[in-house]
Amino acid sequence: MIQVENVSFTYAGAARPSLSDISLHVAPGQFVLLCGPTGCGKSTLLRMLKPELTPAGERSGRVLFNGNEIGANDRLPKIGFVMQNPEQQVVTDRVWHELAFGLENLGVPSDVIRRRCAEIAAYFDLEKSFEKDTNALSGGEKQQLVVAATMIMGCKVLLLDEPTSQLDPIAANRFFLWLEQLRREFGITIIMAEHHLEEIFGEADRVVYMERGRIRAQGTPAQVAWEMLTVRDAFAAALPTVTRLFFDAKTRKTPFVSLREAKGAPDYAQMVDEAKKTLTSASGRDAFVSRENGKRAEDPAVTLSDVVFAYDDRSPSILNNLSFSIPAGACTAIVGGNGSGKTTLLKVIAGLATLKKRDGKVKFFGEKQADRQRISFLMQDVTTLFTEETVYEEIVAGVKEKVEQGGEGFIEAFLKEQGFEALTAHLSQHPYDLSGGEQQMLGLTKLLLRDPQILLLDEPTKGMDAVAKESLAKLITEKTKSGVTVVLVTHDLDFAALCADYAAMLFRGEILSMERADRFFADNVFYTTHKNRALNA
Amino acid sequence: MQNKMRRRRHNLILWSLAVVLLLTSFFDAFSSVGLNRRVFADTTAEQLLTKCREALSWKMKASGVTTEQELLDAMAARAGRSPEDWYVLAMAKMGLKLDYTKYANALFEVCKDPEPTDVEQYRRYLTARAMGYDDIPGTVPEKLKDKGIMSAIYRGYAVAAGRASSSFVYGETQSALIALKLADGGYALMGETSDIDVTAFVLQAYGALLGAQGKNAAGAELMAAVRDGFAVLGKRQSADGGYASFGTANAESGAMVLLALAAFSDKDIAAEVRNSVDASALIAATDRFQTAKGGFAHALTDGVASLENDLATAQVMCAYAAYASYLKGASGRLYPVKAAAAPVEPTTQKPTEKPTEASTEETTAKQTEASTEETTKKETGASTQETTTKGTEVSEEETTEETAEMSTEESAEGSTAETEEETRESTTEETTVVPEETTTSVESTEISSAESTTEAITEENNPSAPTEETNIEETEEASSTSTSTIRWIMTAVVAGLILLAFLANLFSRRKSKLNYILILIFGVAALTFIWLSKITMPEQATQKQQQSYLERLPAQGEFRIEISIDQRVEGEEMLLTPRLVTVSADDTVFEILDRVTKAYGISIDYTKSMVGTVYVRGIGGHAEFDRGAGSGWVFLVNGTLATTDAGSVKLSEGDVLRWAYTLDLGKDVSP
Amino acid sequence: MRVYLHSRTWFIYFIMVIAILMSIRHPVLILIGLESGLIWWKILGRKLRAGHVFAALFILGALAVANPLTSSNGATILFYLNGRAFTAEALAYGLLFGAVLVVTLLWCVILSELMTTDRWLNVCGRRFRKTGLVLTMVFRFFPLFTKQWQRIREGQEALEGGSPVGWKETFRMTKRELLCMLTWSLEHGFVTADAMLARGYGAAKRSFFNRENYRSASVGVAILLLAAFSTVITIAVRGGMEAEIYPYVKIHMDAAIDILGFAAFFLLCHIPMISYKVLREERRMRS
Repeated sequence: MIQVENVSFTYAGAARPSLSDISLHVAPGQFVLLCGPTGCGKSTLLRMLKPELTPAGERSGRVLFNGNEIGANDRLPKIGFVMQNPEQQVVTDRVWHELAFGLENLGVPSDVIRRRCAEIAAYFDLEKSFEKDTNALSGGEKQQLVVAATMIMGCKVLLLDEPTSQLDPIAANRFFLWLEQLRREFGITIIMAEHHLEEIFGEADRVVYMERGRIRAQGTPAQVAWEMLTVRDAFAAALPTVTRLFFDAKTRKTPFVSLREAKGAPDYAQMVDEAKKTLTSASGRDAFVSRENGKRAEDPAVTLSDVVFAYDDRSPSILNNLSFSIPAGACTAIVGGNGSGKTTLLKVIAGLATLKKRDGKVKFFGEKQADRQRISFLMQDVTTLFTEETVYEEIVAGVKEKVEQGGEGFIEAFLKEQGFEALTAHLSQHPYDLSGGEQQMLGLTKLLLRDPQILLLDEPTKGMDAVAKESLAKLITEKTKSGVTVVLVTHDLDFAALCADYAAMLFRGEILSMERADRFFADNVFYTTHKNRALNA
Repeated sequence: MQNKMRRRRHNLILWSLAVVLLLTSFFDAFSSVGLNRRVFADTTAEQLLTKCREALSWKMKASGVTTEQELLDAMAARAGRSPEDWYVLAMAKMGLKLDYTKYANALFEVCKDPEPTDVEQYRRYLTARAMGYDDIPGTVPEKLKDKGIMSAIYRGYAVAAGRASSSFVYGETQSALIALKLADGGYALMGETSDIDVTAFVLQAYGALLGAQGKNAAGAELMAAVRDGFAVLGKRQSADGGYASFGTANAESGAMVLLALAAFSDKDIAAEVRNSVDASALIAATDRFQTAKGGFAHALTDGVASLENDLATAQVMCAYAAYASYLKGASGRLYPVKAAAAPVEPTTQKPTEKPTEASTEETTAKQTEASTEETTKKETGASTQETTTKGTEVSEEETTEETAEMSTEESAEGSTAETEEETRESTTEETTVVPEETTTSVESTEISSAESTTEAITEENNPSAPTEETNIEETEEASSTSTSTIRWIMTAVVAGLILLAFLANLFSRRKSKLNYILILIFGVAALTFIWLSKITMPEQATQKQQQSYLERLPAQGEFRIEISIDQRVEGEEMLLTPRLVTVSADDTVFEILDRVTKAYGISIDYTKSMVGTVYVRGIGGHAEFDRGAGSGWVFLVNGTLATTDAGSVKLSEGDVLRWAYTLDLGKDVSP
Repeated sequence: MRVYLHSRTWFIYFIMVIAILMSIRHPVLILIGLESGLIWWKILGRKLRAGHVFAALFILGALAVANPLTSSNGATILFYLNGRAFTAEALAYGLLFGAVLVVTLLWCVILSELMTTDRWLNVCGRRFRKTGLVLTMVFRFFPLFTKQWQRIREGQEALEGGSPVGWKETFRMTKRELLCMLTWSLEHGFVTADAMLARGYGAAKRSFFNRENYRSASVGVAILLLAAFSTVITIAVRGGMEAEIYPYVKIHMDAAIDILGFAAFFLLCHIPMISYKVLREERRMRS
């Protein structure tokens, strides 16, 4: 169905090519997963396949769709393209209009549109939300709507560019399941570029591993996993936990790509024991958690007593008599589902003006008033911080005296210190030209330069690949070692397990339990790390 | 969730619409000020004064000066010897507060001229009077030496201005002028055909004499001469409203006629005499002589005014200023007229002591020369007109009503007090038109220029006149109670508004502390404003303004009609002598009557039935059935007795409306 | 979807009512407008709260008092305030204008309630479908951008460690927020444009998804509305229903032509309410 023949592509004005001699063949009905580190060219490759979105630059080689070559000025509405951010892809204000938008663009007559919309709504169970305001949908729902709106045009091929990067794991899961259903029922071809491989790796028909514009490995998931693991590629960290955990370098068996597969193996129990042993022996700590929990909390950094908050008198309260304390010098992870109030909790701690009207007391190190300058809050949307033209200016903004005091090369040294060397290459670029993970790094840099005492992080791992996540975890650990209190709100339980000392669960505006991270994750059955899931017999 | 968003979006649209509406409403409020006829700002008087100012600025530019004071001083070099004296008269009449010393001194130097002609000396004397000086050095002729008409005119004027020594002199002067009347009723320098300029000038002198003596003292002969003179002017008025002398339409002749019209107050001559000349057409015609630069040309070249002429400009300025003054109810005479004294012996000229003359035109009775000059100088402000008028009016009343004893014997200070009070009493008995002229200068200055500066000046005028002050105090006290009532009412209103705003905020969904602060600020600001601002009561002013409103030039959709109210009692003057008022096309007769009686202070009693018909039961105290079973009020339109009620008749251009008291159900009222 | 009245009919209905109220400011018309507005209020399920009444009275009173302070037209002078005449007619005009404002605001709220985004889209219709698309995108982006501005403000505040104090600080902060907002919206726009392209925008001539099939009754109603409107306008132009305030307050309401005008306006306001089916549909829409 889709044939990529020796395609090379260089962006206009770029020094080196983004794609070098890519050849790929996708059969109809296949699910192809593109993976690789940031900047490997996955998105570029996808855009090659969609002529409307092909960027400007030099291209050599051919792309064929159903045997016809795709030219630069072609229009192929039959190829659907779904991008990262659902918020940015929704064009209209009503669900029905969003669905009809694509068909309207094609000039389809009104009654046909009506029928199609009815069809799709019935199939995707969107009838109840047909008249809804798109602003009222959640991220996952929006992304599903975008896919539906694309499918309604009768697409045979669906290209997805990191569709779940902006979604929380639960919504991402749901999205994947839904996509699976689509694939199974309609036999559409799906080509997806993803970082988040935990659930989807095993489902793919073919996996293409790219690096620096070239295809490093192609094949079934097991094949690719085997290649990456044997070569000890850095990117192996992105592979699903199950794959990594139960891979025995010595025996070199075919790696498992899903938990079901693993559990189905006859020697599952032995594998589990082996794994536990490995983990214990390697670091002498408790098997299921990677963090050492020697810390004792002295003075709690933040104490909340009976905090109640609602946006106005008529809406239900978001925080309900919340009382808990955050230990100083440690990393506390606050987890919970959507709408549990995690972000609001952070905002209350940060003392944002919009949340001034709340009941209850918040104390910082025993004092009522906190030095607001020492509390840094990294919000979900990092781009809200960017006001300058270049990365360097962005970093320097607001801390000019410090930079001047530090002298030459202060920024570079600082970046190296924090583990953000990757940013030094981009100092003269526009902040928006960075990748998602790099933007997070930039935001963190800005905050860290202000030398905070309390660091509040809201979903810092959105859009990051595995490598970046690890370095972030390392950074957090170092910071807590040096006495900074870190409060981490995240959906990513694996990441929380990496760097949290304590974990608390927020449910419907109340903190249910707070305990040491290892105990927390071990005690939970469903809402726990993949490792735990894999290792619980 | 959806509802909340929808509400928010709707609120946004709503508030932006509200902002747009508020903005347009403000524009509308301000524009309506311009769109609606400005009742009080754009009366004819203001228009005339504006043109005077334009002409004056032309003169200033032409003379290379920037302020009026500089112009005055520049012209001083030629004082007494050039037509620029007219400028001085005009500036004085416009009410400009200038320092005339330089000009006056130059004039006085010229007056010491060994061989002056009568006319010249008279003219200089009058100019000095206009500037506020009592007299000039040098000789002013007491008796006519030459027989020319000009000297007779000037003598007449000078006599009226104060060079009189006795009423005998008045009579003599008058007769001299009347004797010069030509067959057609007009006057000329020579020959048998009357000349516009001269006729107008004579009429001005008549006006001065009339003002100085009062109608009764002046006599029927003078009145007849005045009527004839105006008749001539009326006949000779060109089609476009202007006047021509020796065949050429020129600005000066028109100006002189206007001056003649201004020289008489409404009480002096009947409306029909005044209306022989169409004043508004005359003004319009004279306007055409104004050039683009503001000055006035002597004549039109190719139908357009292009070449400015000093004499024309100055005379038109005088005429406009005088007429504007007349329209405002003040004296329209160019030169101040001395109040008629009782029989007095000839006095030598001492500017200060005139103990026997009830010189109420000088609001103080200061004895020192310096202070007199001071006050007289100050009188060149707007207040002068009022107080002068008041003085003259008052003294007129006096001489008509009371005997002269009252005014003569008292000392200056004492007399002023009593004459003031007495005159107030006496005039309040009159039911005719202008009781308000006896109000204190405080009130009257409010009318002419609602600026507190004039008030200050007037009060400066009277620091040592206890009577004046007590008068002012009395009136202020009288109105202070009502002023404070108004303040309390306004405070109550503001309190009510604050309460409403407070409640609105309290009951709203989205309360904000900011709103309360705003309410507080608004309240404090409003209260400060109320209690610190000046409130004055317009009792008398309303009538004055209503009158001038009635007498305004008709705009689009309006026209003039003549109205009179005649109670038909032998020997009594009509409640309302025939006069022209401006009405709009859909005003009913009753509305016109209501408006006119309100403006002229005539009481009216009427009933309005449920269906809307109006029945007038009484006017001016004369009620129906007072004089018999068939007596009551009827009205005639153009001589025809009306058969329907006053609320259903509407008039048209030029109609004559006459309300008359009938004794026999209308049968005895002549058309 | 069959609807009773076409969106354009609704639209012109509102335009007509508000236009008449704002241009012909006659007390009787205002009363009629108020009465029908309150009926609509009831139909739409909104409650007349005390706060609304107080706010309306406040507007009325404030304008009534403010107008004489700025305008001295009018023949009956009550007193002089700082040399400016405070006339009774100006007071009356202020009251009248306040009433106009209150009733217009009322109708604007009703307008925003009744004209949902779908209706606005259908007002543009097939003929102006591109404008309709722009309008839809405005409806979509406006709340989005407002939310984003809020987020930016929070982000900046979190960075700075506190909300700005003093006008200089606030100014700087607002400038920064604005820049941030601009860049963000540009980037956002790029991606949205890409998404639109991906879904075939510009591939062919756009069609219009018409969801409204209005009944023929709509045409009849539109004709009736137009007739009533033109009656009122003609009468007003010819001089009926005049409410003169300056220089004397004279409100014409006795003549036959005035009464005719009032009746026409009454009809105009109440026509859409006549059909109970229309009301039922509205109620259903809002429940």
